[in-house]
Amino acid sequence: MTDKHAAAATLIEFDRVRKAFGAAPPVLDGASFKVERGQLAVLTGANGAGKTTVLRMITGWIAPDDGRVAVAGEEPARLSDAALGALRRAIGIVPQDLHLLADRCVLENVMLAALADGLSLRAAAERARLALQRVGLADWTQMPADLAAGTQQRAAIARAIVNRPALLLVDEPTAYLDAPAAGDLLRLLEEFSRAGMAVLMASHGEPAPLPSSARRLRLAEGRVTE
Amino acid sequence: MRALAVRAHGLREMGRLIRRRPGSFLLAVLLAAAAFTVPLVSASFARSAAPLVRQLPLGPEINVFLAGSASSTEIRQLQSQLTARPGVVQIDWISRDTALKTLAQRTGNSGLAELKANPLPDVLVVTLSPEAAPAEVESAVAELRRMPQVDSVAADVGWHRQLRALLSAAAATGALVGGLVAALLVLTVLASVQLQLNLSAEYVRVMRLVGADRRFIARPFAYSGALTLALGMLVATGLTWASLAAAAPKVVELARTYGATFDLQPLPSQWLAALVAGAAMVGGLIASLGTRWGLRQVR
Repeated sequence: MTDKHAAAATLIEFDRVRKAFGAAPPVLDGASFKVERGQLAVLTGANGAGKTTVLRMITGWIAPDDGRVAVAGEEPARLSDAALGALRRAIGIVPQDLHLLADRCVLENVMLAALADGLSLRAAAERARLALQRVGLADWTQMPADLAAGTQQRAAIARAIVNRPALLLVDEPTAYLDAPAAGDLLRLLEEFSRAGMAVLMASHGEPAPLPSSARRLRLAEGRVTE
Repeated sequence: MRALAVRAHGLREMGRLIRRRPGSFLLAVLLAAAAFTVPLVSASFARSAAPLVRQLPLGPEINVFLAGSASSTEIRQLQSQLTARPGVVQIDWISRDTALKTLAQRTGNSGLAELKANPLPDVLVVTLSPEAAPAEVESAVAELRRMPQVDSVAADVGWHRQLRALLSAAAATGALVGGLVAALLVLTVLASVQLQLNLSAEYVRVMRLVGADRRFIARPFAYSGALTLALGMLVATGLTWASLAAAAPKVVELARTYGATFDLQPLPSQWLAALVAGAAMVGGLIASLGTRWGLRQVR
């Protein structure tokens, strides 16, 4: 994480953002919201409401048609390849389908993010072990395919936090988890936000039990309401 | 430190790429080796033949037969006049006495002693630059014929024309083979990179997700391309050595029948080391460009 990203108070800022795909009605139409440091925000909305589009705009995968998307003061869609990489390393991303590589163990999967940040093998392994401990994973040598869905989710979160990001994005984290596992995961995300990390979680419905400190953002008809 | 770490990561990932499809990697190395062997064998032959070729008179020669009345002073004047002419690289004066002595030696002096006077003329052998066009040679011959004290002029323009055509065809063939070899090498590396990229689509996606830029992602593929051509060159060196060892006795024997000495040698080891390093650099560059091209639409 760079000093610039770490110092920003407002980590996500959407200002009248519009995005349409083809001739279909816009997914986002004047969407505005902010997420500050230390907040746990839950973005809910129906299927196809645009939750994943919001996350993909934050990470620079897609650009808005109109309006402004800023992450720690930078507009991801306007960044060069190297600057976008630096921004993504300052953001922890847990996609819905996790994207754990099947050809390497959990520890090696988590290390990838640290290696992309330029750490040596030993330093990356050390940092990955700390991240895995933080999410409560003890067996690092297993292959992702051998893990339960909840454990895979935790491995993906460990990979997302290994570079100590200022912002954590989590897409549908409880979709495939039973109630106790979902509760554990939400408590973990709340811990991160208490430690100063901004957490934005996209979810189809409001996950229960949602921590009382969580901000509730609702995405419907292209706009975000609180 | 960071620079070392990212390179070390690139090497480890290159190992994974190769282990994922070792057969494809080996095939690419063998294709590169086959492509490198052709120019390596040709270069080894050319280098071994260079001392022989240097002895051959490649520039066209014009024999200027002088009139019997030409004095030594006049001949020297003519010689310096011709030396100043553009395109002339050498002039040898074969005096009539030298010519007679040579003739006597060659014929065993049969009947020459009976001669009352030396019937042979003084001759100036004018050697033109090997680059001289046949038309230039013909023009020089015509000009020499008009000069004072020149009795007659002889030049084998036809032979020169044939030699030029032969060299020109050899150069064109060399360029064609070189171009084909280069194209084969580029295609081999690009195809290998494309295959590895296709097999690594999920790796690329994850690396973009965790913030790796294209340069970082391309590194293992570039290293793989470098290794492909470096190993290809090493294998080609071995193949060249084996080919030369097999061909040497027959080539040496052939040269001996023409009274020449031909020492068929592989290229020096320093050259080969430089070629392996160069192949690695070229392979890395091609693979790096190919990978970045393949990743151009990955945001």
